[in-house]
Amino acid sequence: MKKWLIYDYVNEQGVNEIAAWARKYLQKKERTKLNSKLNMIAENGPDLPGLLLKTEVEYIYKIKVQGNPKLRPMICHGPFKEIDDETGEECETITLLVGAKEISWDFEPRGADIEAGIRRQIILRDRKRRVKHERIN
Amino acid sequence: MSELTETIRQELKDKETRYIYDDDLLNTYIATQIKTLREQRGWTQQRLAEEAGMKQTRISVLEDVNYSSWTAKVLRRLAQAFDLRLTIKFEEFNSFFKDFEGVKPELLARRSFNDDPAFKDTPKPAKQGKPTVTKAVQTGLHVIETENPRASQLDFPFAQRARFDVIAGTGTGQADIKPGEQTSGTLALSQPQMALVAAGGK
Repeated sequence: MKKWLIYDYVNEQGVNEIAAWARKYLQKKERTKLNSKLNMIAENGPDLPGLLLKTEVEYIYKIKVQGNPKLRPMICHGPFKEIDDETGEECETITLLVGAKEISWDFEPRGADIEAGIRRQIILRDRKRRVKHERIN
Repeated sequence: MSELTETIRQELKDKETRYIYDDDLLNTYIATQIKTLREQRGWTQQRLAEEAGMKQTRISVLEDVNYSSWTAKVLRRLAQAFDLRLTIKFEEFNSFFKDFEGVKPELLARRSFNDDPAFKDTPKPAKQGKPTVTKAVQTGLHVIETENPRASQLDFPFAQRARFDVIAGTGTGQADIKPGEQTSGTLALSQPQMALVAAGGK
């Protein structure tokens, strides 16, 4: 069965921005809800109905995680396929680009979708600017 | 067991985690299956809404993996619209993984009653070779049912001088068995069709 691999954006200093965001801003319950969505994507792909929503930025989607606050981490498909260490098969990927919440129809941090678009471009130029997703419990 | 499955197995040991994961799985499963069943039938959301007596906007909401306010009553209406049965069961947590790995359209599709082969009445496949006594209706009466290829032979395992009746099918043969004839022996079918033969007592 086709698997999906998940990656996190890392900054110039090599810091995993997604893991840092989850540690700093999310409570255990929120991290668990996010992990549940990421589990679903890894096992069944991102096309589950209502799981991803388009943003105003091309190629950038937000994962819809129900709750209060509303988690809306920004992702893109790919932008590269990768070989799965477990199976040796080429797999589709998604990349978590910006950790974000949605409060009163605005993103926190503000412009998270735009920043995600910029980060995607950075990854396209340098594929070392993403690492395998670090799970934060 | 995959790395992800093992990770989840460990995480499910925490009570709060397992209820969050399971709630999310249930909502995801239901929303994805409703969408899959609708698309399997080539229906729009509007068509499903009409079949189920709901509004299209309601169907749209039900097809969202984050929606959690569905009720058994609503699911029952959808089941009837799809001509499927609805099951609601309590399960052990070890069944989590099967459902988790099964949220895929190819695994969620279900046939409506009219397309369910279990309810199709199809003719029995032809039996080959020698017939067997399939039923002893009562003492002294045997029934042989077969569909033999042309000219194959039936060996009657009955007592001598029994009475044979070809109830259905076409039979001729060495013993000249015909309906009502008092004899025993073998029967060669002249046509590859079923012969139902009853043999009564002396």
